[in-house]
Amino acid sequence: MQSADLDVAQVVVRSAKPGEEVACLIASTSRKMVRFSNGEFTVSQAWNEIETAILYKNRGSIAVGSTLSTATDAALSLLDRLRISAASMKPKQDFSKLAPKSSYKPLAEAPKEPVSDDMLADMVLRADSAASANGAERSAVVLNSEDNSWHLVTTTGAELTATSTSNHLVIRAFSGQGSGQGITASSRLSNLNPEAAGGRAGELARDARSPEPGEEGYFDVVLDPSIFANLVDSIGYASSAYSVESGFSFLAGRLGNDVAPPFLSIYDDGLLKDGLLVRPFDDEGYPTQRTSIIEAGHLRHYLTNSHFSNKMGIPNTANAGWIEPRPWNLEVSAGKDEESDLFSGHVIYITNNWYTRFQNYVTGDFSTILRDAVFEVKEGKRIRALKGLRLSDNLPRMLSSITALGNRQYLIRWWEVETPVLLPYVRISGVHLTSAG
Amino acid sequence: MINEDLALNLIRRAEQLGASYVETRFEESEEEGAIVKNREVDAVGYSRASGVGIRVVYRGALGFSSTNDLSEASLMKMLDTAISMAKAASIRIKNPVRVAQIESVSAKWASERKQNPFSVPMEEKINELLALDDYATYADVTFPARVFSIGFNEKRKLIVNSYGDKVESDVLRAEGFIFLTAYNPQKGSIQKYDQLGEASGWEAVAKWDLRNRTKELTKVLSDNLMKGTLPETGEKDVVLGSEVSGIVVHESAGHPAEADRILGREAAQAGESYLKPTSLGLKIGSDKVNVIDDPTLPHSYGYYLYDDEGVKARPRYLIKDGVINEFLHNRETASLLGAQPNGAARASAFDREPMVRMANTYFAPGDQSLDELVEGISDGVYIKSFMEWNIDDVRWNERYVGLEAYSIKNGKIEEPLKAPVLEITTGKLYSSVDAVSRNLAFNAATCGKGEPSQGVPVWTGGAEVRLRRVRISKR
Repeated sequence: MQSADLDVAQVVVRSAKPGEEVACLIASTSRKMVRFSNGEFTVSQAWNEIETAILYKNRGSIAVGSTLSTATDAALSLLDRLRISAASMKPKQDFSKLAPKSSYKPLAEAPKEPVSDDMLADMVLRADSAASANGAERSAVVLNSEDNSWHLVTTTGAELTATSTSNHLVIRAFSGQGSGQGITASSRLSNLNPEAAGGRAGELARDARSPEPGEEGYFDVVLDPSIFANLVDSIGYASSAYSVESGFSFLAGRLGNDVAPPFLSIYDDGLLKDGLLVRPFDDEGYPTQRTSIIEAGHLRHYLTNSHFSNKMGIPNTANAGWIEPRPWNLEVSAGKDEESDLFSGHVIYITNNWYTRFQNYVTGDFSTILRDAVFEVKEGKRIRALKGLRLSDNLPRMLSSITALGNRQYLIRWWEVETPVLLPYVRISGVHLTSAG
Repeated sequence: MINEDLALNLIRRAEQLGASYVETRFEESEEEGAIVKNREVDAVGYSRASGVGIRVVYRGALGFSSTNDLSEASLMKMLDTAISMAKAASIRIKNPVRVAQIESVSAKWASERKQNPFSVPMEEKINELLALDDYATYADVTFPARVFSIGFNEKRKLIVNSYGDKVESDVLRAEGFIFLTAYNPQKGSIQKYDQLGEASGWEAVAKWDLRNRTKELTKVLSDNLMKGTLPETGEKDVVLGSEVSGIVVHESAGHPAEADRILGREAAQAGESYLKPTSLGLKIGSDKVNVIDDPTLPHSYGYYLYDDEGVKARPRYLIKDGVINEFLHNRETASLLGAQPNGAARASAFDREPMVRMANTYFAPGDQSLDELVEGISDGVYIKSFMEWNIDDVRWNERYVGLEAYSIKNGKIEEPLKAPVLEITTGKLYSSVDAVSRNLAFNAATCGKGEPSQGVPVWTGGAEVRLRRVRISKR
């Protein structure tokens, strides 16, 4: 981020008139992505963008806006437009409050890593080679590497700056009718392990190369971190106070209740070590924290900004979003079970999913497609690979039917997991699987 | 700002550096909207964006870069980045990218609009939304969550490429949604998300008749909640309403016809297709099945006359009389499969690469009335709308869960049914079609694909469709 861009935020905030509250958040992204399939690179992409976002409040009227222009006059013009829009609103009770001059502690910036285009291409090829070495006939890979920075200035005196880096490589390998996915993710590019991700994807594809049609029924299942992360992402979304108020949450009205077994805790953490979305302050300037959404099975907190905190009379968890609180990095605490113990008895092992859709967000009725390798497992041994199955169940029921968690956590982010999630394997009883026949 | 000279400078420089194809897409956009929740304005929003997307083919590899810093120095730097990345990728290229060149175009087009929505006072927009709350009431049912929104976005683009094509466009879209949760202490809850969208100005809002739409939706939800019974499981004759037939063809005819999926390019994310490059001519359904994707439908949500590669748009007949007839192509896939580009390249914004996408996909109408479809059924189900749906990533195993649904007994539509599930394969579904109504209708949707994700506006649509002897189950 250039210092000239930082000045824009200060100019915008200084132009606020008496009685007005203004926050200006400048977000800068520098990002590269390399994609690969069928043994060749398909497209390599790069982005450099700066967005200026403004929150405008005046006596119960609230307007938000953004411009991708970096010019000061464009930002001031946006502020004027928001003034006009807000003036036409019937004022409402304004519960929100920007943070006073914040006491947040800036994070120590990690030394910048050298990233070359050749280095990115090489990592993709290493993942592909590892998949081939483990039995894949072909693979498709995505490698994403991005640097983000934020600068927040408010009329309440906050002037905050932060940076965060995020890298992940996702590989999907194919063999016969089988496929498998591997993920490696880290805040440091050099910590990615393309060989491990590729090797795992290849092995899953190879072992699932001759699947048989799966039968409908209710089964004990073990979910790989990939699919569990997709469901935890939905839980994170449901935990936002905005979702609770808008009818998009099965957690509405359940604060303080038992919603999961006592060994399950789910956190949101803006400062998660090696997290992919580390933000020491939220969009209102409050210092972010580690918040227990579910602690020892109890629903402890909704994720809030100052508006929902004051309106609902619950703690401000510093998850603003000016309008909608949202999670930073989700974490499911590790359990006590060895991963191999999760596979005792008769279980269906589900390695991945996609296309999760809800029939009713309040009840949590949903279904999701089982994608990539699915195995029937008896006493730890994969008996056969299965295909054509869908998980059709109810999210709160599944949450309360968790019977075990693995003792190791994995960091997951990919196409179907928007919020980064750190989590273990999970075993759930009586899960409904269906099939199109 | 949109600058043709700058575009030409970028193209010249890229060619000097050795690029075999260059494309620049300058874009300016403006958006405004408001959300009202439970009789209170959540917030009003306004945003502007401008930027450039640059694509190059260098040593057979494809590079893309974008920035919203429109200084010449910044754009040249991003061009260099695109070439540098393509160069790094060129070490592993089996099929050098070829971008099909067709007859050169110079065109300018705009979507029709009557009233500029950006000059309509925000107060008027908010009042329109606040008024809807009065229509979300019904005896014995409460509506604890009511969310209404309207918004507008206008995009102006200039596409210039090294083949000499130049296309300027200006599209204005109106958008809205209604999301209602109905609740009764004894019966529980039911929800519906209703999306609206079309290429029009402020006049779209009056046309949508949001008050009546809210009233109707309120009644449908309440009746289903209070009177609905669970369906019997088993083989039934089923009539799909146009909202359902629209999502069916979008998911299981449109997506699988995208040539980049067929070629495996999207395998790591959006998936592949049950169709193969050799599938043209494959019989996939009964003779009654005809599926068309048409970007040129006036005022449609997916409306465009030239795609984001500057190719003239036209209707694509994806399935004709039950036979796979045509794929959706961009210039790259057309070149690979020996076809002509058919105007299916779309990018959701300047900072996204153009990909093979649908526009407005619909189940083409037949010649019967809805009554005639129902008359022929002694024991069946009418699924008029849906909430939950999904399909596997080769587009074969799909599921639609009814929202507004009814039993059919002896040729008559009868009582509401709760959440009947149609879980079926694409082959079975299209083979089971024995009649199609003449009633064509469309719904707005946002189609997702690509990494980074690209949501593009589309219409899904169709006529009512009758399926014979398909399995219905309970949720």
